[in-house]
Amino acid sequence: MNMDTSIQFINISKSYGGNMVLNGLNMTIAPKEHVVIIGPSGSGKSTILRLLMTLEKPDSGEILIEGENVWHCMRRDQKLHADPAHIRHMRSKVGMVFQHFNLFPHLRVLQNITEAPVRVLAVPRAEANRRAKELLDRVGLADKYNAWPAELSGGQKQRVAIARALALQPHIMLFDEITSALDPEIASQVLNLVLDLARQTDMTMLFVTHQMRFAQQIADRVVFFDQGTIVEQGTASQVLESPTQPRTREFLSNVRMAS
Amino acid sequence: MLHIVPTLLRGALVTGEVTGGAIIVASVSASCAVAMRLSGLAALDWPARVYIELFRGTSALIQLFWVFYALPLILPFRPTPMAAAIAVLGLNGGAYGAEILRGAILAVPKGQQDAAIALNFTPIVRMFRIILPQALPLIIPPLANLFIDMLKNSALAGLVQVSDITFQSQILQESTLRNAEVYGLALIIYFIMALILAGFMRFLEGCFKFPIGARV
Amino acid sequence: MTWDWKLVWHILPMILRGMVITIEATVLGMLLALVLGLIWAGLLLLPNRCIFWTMRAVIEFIRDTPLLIQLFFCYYVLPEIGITIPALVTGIAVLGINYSAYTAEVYRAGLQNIPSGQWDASKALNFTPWQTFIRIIVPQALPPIVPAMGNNLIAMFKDTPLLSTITVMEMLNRAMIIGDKTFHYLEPLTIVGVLFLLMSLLASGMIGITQRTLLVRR
Repeated sequence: MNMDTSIQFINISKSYGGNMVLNGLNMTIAPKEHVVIIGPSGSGKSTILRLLMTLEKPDSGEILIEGENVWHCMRRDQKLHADPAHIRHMRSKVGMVFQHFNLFPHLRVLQNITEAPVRVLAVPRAEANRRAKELLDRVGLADKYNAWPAELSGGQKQRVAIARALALQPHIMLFDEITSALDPEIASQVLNLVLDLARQTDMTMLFVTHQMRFAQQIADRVVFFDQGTIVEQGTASQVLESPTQPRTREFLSNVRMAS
Repeated sequence: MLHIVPTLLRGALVTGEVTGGAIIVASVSASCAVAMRLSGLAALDWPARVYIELFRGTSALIQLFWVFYALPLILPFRPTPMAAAIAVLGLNGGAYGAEILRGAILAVPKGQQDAAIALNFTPIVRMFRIILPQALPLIIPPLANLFIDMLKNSALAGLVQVSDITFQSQILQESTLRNAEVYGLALIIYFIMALILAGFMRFLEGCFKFPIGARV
Repeated sequence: MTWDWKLVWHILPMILRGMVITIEATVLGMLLALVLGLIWAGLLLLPNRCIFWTMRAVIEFIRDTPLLIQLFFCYYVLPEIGITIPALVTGIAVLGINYSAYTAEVYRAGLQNIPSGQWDASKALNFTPWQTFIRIIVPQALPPIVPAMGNNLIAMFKDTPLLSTITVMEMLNRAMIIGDKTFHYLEPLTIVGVLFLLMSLLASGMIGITQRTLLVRR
């Protein structure tokens, strides 16, 4: 296991129904790095996260997590498709928080968080409950452990979703437009929580977001993505304040117009 | 009037047997057919679709008569009336049930599948702990209608010598010629059985409810 | 397998003659169901609670009891009260009344789906209630109703073999007569099954086309 890199995309291509969303993407992310991906809708940003979370399979190319290939195994110089056990092993290193929360409506908040540790990591339920309550406390919802997801506000749901993803202790956390479905006031509460998380943990974090101020606060690197390719990348101040590419400048001015 | 009711009630017991047996067969065949259709493998999808279209596209009575009269001419054995009735009515109900199950499972928001995969559940745990529990409230109401249809279809069993309400009512009709009472009472007994079944399904519906609010 | 193709060609004309009766029963039964269902739907809209609950009870009773027993009841009881009609007419009448319980529900759901704003807007534009109904409400209610009615039609078609139990000479009856005479049940029953399958697939396709055509016209 090579710990020099956390994530590697090597020549990744992906199309949906004739539409090429990613075309020969190459990207390397270091351990503990916080990378923010920005860009117009349909540019393929979410696809990057979904590929990493193994929700989708790339048409061609390799994805490596901590130096290990996700979808293929090398056996005596032959590249074979990985078996489900290997893919699940790779998947266990990644966690994801979604734009629409995707909480399980038929389980109470505590069970939403404990279900995976109990069924996937075989953690005893009492221990899982204890850890879940700790996580809920950390996201500021200790008193909501017995509530139904339907009884929560949007911001509360997203915080439970974050706790649920953290319960499996992933090495890499993915955040797919986590505040796009929230009111601005609530959004900043959630973003502050994520900022705390970034400071307190060693996780590699990958963000897709439209929140530029948040990007400036959290990003070690900002990547501007358009039409399936990286247009420009650099530090937050480089990309957001003094972009070199005209497309980047156009996108940023449109975003500022909207907010 | 006096001996009509007990005779019909004896038939009602058999009707219950046939309906119950058919519901069990239907549950099994519907679950198998849905699993085959949702497996993503064309080799499994096609046989399931043929089964579903075959049993939904033809009449239950024709299916029953075919199994009871035509099948023994091909196969070396003859099924008992009860076995034929339960098998045919069960497979018939299962074809409709498979589509109900499939519709409900596909109606569960895709984000639930995403979240379940992200949390690394195995496919079996995903289906049984996350997807199916959310599909159940969508399954039970149409399933209740299907089960009542199967109760009504069980009346066909009497036409192939199963001693159910239909069969007993035919015998009573010939022996007493009191047509209005015999068939009127038969209708009432079926109606009461349907109401009991409907009530039970409503109770089941209540068991699996959870607060929905805004669907997340 | 003892499949006799000669027998198939020999009995096909007889079975097709039965198909004519099957189609006749389906079409006439459906027409009756459409008319009666509309009447029930109208009655259910009346403010009189007595009528409403009586109608609901009757409809529920029809829907929750087997069509087969309803057929037997009418076939045996009607002559006793002086109504002597051919078996086919009895069959069509029972089919029509039975399915009117389902078409009434389709009408009710279809009319309920029209937003009340449509009625208000029409009144504001000075349409008469009748004009409103024909020109505004019905064209909007029709597209979702058509597939539901089409499915009822196919269901009724598949219920016509039950008429064989009250001596109507539709397809299943003819197949069983052939079987009883020749002891060859396989060919006639299979032919009937295949014909039913083909016709219901055809009908499903036609419903799909009609539905798409109606939607396009909006």
